[in-house]
Amino acid sequence: MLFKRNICVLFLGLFCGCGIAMADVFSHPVNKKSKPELEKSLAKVMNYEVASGDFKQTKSIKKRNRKFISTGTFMISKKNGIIWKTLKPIFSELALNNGGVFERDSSGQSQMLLTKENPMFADFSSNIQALFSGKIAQLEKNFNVFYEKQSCGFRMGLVPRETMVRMVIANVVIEACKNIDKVIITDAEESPVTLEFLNYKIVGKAAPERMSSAP
Amino acid sequence: MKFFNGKHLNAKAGIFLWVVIHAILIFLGISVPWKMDSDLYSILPDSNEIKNVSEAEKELSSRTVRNITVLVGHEDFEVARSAAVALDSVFKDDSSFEETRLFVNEKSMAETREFFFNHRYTLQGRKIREILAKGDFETLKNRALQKIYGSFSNANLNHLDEDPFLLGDAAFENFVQHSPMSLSRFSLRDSVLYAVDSGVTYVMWNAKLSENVPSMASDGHVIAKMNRVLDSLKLAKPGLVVAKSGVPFHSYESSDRAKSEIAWISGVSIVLILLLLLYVFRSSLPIVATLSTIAIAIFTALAFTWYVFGNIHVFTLVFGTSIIGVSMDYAVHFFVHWKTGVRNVRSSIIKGLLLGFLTTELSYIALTFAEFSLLRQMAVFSIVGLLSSFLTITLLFHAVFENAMASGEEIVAKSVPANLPTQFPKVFLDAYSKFSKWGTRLMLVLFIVALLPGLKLLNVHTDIGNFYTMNDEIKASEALTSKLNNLGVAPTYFIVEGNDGIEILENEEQLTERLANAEKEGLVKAYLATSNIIPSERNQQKTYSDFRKIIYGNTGILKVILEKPGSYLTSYARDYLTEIGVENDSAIIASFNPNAWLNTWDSLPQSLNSLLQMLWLGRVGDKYYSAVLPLHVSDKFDAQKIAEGLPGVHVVNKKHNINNALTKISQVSLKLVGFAYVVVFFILIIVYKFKDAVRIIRAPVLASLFAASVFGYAGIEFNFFAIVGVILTLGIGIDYALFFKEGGRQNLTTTLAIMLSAMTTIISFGSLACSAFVPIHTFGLAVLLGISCCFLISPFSAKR
Repeated sequence: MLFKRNICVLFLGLFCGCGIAMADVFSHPVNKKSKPELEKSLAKVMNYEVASGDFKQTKSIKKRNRKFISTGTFMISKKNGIIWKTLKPIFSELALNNGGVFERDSSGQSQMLLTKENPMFADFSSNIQALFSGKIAQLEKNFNVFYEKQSCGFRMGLVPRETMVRMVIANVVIEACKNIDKVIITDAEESPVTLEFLNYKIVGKAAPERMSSAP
Repeated sequence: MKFFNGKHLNAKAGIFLWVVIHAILIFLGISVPWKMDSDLYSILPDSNEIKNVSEAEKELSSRTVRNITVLVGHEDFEVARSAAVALDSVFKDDSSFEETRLFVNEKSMAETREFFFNHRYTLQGRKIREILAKGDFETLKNRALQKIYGSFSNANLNHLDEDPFLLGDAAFENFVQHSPMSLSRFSLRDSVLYAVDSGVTYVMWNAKLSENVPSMASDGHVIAKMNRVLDSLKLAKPGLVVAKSGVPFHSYESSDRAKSEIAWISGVSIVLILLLLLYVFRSSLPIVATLSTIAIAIFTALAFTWYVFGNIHVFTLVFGTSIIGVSMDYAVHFFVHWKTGVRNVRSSIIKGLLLGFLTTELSYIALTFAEFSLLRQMAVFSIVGLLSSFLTITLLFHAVFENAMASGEEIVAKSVPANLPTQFPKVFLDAYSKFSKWGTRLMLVLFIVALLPGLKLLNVHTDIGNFYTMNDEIKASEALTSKLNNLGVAPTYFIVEGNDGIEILENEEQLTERLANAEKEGLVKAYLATSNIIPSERNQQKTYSDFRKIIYGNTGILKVILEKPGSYLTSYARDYLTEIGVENDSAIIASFNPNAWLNTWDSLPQSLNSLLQMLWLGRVGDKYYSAVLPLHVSDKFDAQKIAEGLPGVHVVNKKHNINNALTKISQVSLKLVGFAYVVVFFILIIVYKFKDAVRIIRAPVLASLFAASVFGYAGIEFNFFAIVGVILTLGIGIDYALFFKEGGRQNLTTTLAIMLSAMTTIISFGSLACSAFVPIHTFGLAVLLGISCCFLISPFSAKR
């Protein structure tokens, strides 16, 4: 369950796109004044039907001063779900749709990671919905939310509420300008995983009432 | 019966004998510690023919029988959580609970991860074991690389030097995948487990009752207290809903219902019986004497049963008090004759009484051979109780009530006693006098013919599922808890046996290999087994050596350890380590432990311990046992086929096995009583000759067939308790026939005594038929039908 929750947090971070550096977002907890602003900013960067592009992921092992870099493509459809392909240095693919979460490995073998009945799936869907619709209140159920306005866009910080989850993932930082540009996930040993989003393409600006539809 | 006519056994000797026998029986009872068993599970017979397996199965049940779950729900999570916190704060220090669980241990995941990391070379699942066994380095490497470079892995890369193939994560994932949490719909939020259903958020609270908490409802019972606390929480937090599940709730609810029911049933029947006795005797003396006889009989029976069995089940008391009916019959016979002014009552009724006593005792003695502890307890209780009553009437009553009158001269009871209400027996006998000999025969033939279709329709089967009907609230709670836990434990599961823990795990692995195939075929969604997480020692050792082989080839471990790091790495292993930036294998070598396999389970993490608490049964008798539980099975899942030919694997379907066991016990009991009846019949032939013996025995036999036939016609399951009722009919009913035979069909005193006996029995057992508790209802109904019919047929036992 907790293991699944960790994946959920990763998902959450990855979904949000890309951006820029860590900085001091965690000294700006979201408040009554900043919450509407964050909701508006989120809704703005999430205003699409389908988003796709490339990503570059850098996993840094702080203790060993080691880096693992991988690249791939992603496609996010508010209607049909998410496809996430890691292409180099080794292939793997993950798909999320209404039926659950599926994985395909380098040998081409597929397996279901989560069924649609799984609570983590429901959690993930509700978090995604919250992000798509900019409903911060929903996100606040699982995270302490932080917000910092930038010269271009914003920076959002998420700290898991659960101590047990924090023992695996300390925090997530999402940075966005016109789109979500960067996500940094830091583990309990302060080793960050940075996802940078490149060649970002969006198709179809969503009408305001459709923005809250589930993936 | 010279022995009893006062010549050979005078009153003083009688009293002395009565005192000695009772003193011995009671002394034996009070010489051992008294223990009342109220565990509803313990009345069930062994569910498996193999004693040890049955004991292992009982051990498995006992692990969960004291567990309760309360789901506290509300539209608002915070409200649900605060209510659960309030509930926990009330009960967490209550001595009635062994433990309560609301908050999830924050460190548990880290502890579990660390445990599997430390045992990564041994505690691997089937998938990794197969990869290692095949020496498939590519798959092992790619699997690790996918985790290192993939975006959705939560693998900890901080330990790559010690664990470059991420085997620690693989072992942990295997644990998660094979634990109940993989199916559960509960998630973690604010340190509690919650799940959402129909817009309501439920927070889970678990507890385990202490061993000393009785399962039966009583004043101040912790379940009653919990119900009050939950009610007050509902009042304080509008919209709060609660779902309670677990055996203790069922036991409390059913016993509470039974308690109030028994109170009014016994209250009404006692009042009716007392009124009846008062009406007949118009004096309190016979009533007081009768009640004293019953009290002495019950106490003596209780003491001796305690001595024999070491404890007594509360159900033995409930069913065993049937001796009240028989004891009362003896006392009624004595006092009806006494009231008519008969001198030496004992002599005038002794033959019928003695034969009745012996035949009833024979039926109960036969039941002591049944392989069912509850039935044996009931039989011993009844044998001793009946003996006590018989001795009280024939020795004590004789001495106390008629010693002054006894002159050795027998006076036959007056056929028309003036001081007793004889109008009813007179009407009764008049009705029988109208039957001609051939009319009687024709009627009996027609009666037997009418019984046949009912007997053909008879369904001799015991289904314990029908014994208890949940109320709607508990039913809905159980359904909700089951839905959210989503464990789906199949009714049929496996008990695995071995001479030691090592053998069990090996036997389990053979079974789980077949279950894994069944899983692939979609016959079962998952299964819980200890060996899924902790493989057998043989497999642990193999995993360890296969891993060494895959990175060092056939080089011995000592060479690897003693030489410079990296000297013996296979080229592909060296390339891989270089690829992921691991300089050498020194950290890997340092983590090798020649005694790495897990053979003592003393320091397991809590999460693994909880799972093993459910599955690992340990030593039972001279063997060791574990349970393997298939989850969410399809209709085509055939447990017998899966277990076929596997050593030490037993298929268990508790409900099915208990039903079969009860049905078998019922059949054996009937055969035993049938055998006892054959003996009784021979005794009757010796005493009365063949024709009269047939006349006597046909009344209880036909009455029993009548009861069975009515069950058949009504489509009611003729279960174990109905059969116990029929056995009782055979035991009590024959007395009526004997008394009629002895007293004659025209004797109003005898008829009055029999009528009174039958009425008291019908009232006391008939009232049980009003019970909502199926076993008691069925038992009462069978006795009501049997005794009523026996009473009506018995007059034909005597000659005109």
